[in-house]
Amino acid sequence: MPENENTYFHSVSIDPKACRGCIHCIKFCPMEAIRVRNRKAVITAERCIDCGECVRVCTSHAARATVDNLQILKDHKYNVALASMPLFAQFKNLNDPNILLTAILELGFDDVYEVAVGAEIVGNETRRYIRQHPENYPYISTSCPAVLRLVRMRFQNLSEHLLPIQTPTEVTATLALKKAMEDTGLPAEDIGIIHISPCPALSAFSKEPLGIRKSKITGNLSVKAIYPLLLQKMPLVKDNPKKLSHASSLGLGWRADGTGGGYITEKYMSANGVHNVLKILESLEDDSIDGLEYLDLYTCTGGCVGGTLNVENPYIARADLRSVRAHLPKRIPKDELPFSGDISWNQRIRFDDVYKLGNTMQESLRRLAAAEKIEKEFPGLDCGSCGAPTCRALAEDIVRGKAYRHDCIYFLRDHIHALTMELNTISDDINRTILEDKGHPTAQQMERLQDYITQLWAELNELDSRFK
Amino acid sequence: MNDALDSGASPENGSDEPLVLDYTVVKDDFTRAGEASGDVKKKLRMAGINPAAIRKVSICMYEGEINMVIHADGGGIRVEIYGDRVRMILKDKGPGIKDVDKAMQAGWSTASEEARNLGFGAGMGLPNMKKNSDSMDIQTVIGTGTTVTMVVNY
Repeated sequence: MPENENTYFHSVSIDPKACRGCIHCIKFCPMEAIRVRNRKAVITAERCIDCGECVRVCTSHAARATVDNLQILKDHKYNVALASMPLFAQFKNLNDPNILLTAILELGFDDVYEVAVGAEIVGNETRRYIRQHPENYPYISTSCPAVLRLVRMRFQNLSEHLLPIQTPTEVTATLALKKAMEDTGLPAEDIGIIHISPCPALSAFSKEPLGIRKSKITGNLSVKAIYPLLLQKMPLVKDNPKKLSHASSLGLGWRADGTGGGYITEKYMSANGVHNVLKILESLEDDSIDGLEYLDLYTCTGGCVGGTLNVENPYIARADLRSVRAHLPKRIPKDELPFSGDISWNQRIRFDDVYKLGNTMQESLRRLAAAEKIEKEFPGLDCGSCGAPTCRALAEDIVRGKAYRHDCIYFLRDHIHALTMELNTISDDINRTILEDKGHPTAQQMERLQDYITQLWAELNELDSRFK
Repeated sequence: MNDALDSGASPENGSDEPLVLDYTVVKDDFTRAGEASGDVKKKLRMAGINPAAIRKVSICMYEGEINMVIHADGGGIRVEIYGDRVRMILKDKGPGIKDVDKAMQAGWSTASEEARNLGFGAGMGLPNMKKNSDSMDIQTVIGTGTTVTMVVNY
């Protein structure tokens, strides 16, 4: 099966101890990547794009994103924090970003670099690239790794629309590493580049990137883990913050609210929320999107401020971010923009095919035909009790050999009904032998009776096990 | 009951019996246009058919669906998936096409003002279907309806 290859590092995972086996996450996963098996949710790794939808909806906090903790500062001699844009959106009345940046240094970092600077560089490069390459309009922004993984998994036809430019986080990591090496004289391996991340997708991406061979980011902390620490430190530094900020309003707002697209070209579309993004990509594949040059797409609602590792509600965060941005220059002056070198992709993207049902086309087609038939045997309620998100998904799991018809409790119930009817027939048969023919039931009759009772018993047990 | 595959009627080795999918298209319901093409796309992906062919099918299907929503009183789409090709039969109840040659010209449209305001009716429907299919046949009867049959090979 193709499914066991191509697995990559994931940030999102489900803690089986905390999972109570409800069906929330399987219903919301845009990739239909989660199944409940033996009353625990399990993620199919090769389908997961680390979008974090499951983390968002899990009521028992079992679906979570794995990130590093501050212990990671011990791994390197010199550590630089990368302050992501959404981090600035978590605080009320932050009228000077230097207060936040100085507080980050108080946590034990040697330096701090704003991802907003990298975002502005990526914006400039995107604008230039789009003007020079009209052949593949519209270009899809690849700043959101979950969008990139989604396209790679489901929209191979759209490969030429992918913008071959590194993410703002990665560009910032390059700048931060270069500056740290210049400032300290240390070799790269002694320098920790630690991203304060708004989402699991960016964290996972730094471990296993696309478009480049290796990320310069050495670790990821979550915004929400750093938040309470910063709340303590910020009042201590607010009267005398260091001058650390270089970001502009444009760079800081970039991925927060989708307004960055207008800077690239007037013919742009900004869409966020994974289901909206899916729809847009489907339309693009159907050739029904006309006249656009750039699609600014983010899987989180509200853009990166909607990432699941943030604290604040995305809409409140946007409003708060606006007040920080008001205190910043509109753009970084050209002569002050750091030189980043070539920020285009240098690795080809390999496309995955996780959806085909079999190894060969013939097998896949045969299984598709089988799935069409099996689907009709189920009630079509999409109740999720079988552990698959829809009756259709169960039918597909069955033809892949990963589930059974009796995983459907309605199918199982009907089967139990049918068994009891047959039991009834057999016992009538035996009764007739005894009462009318005045004979003894044969060994064969008794064996059949025993067989049916055993089967019935087994199926009732199975039904029970679903409710224990 | 555990063996799923035994019961599936399927295009077996050598035989040319297609997998058939049927869809209904509702007149004037723009919100549902694209449902059938989306479903077919998903299923072709599962069948392991090459992405370029899938894209052609989905463009043909989508344009056809939109045509049925705009111009006809709805209709039905039958999709037959073979080992080497997909055949799409789009059959509508509608006014028929008065001049097929004209309708095949890029930019020529009889779409209503309402449809044009919604961004449809650019006159690219049939030309696009022709461009993306390996063969296309149009049977039309004025006052009765139109049947468009398209084949995409892979």
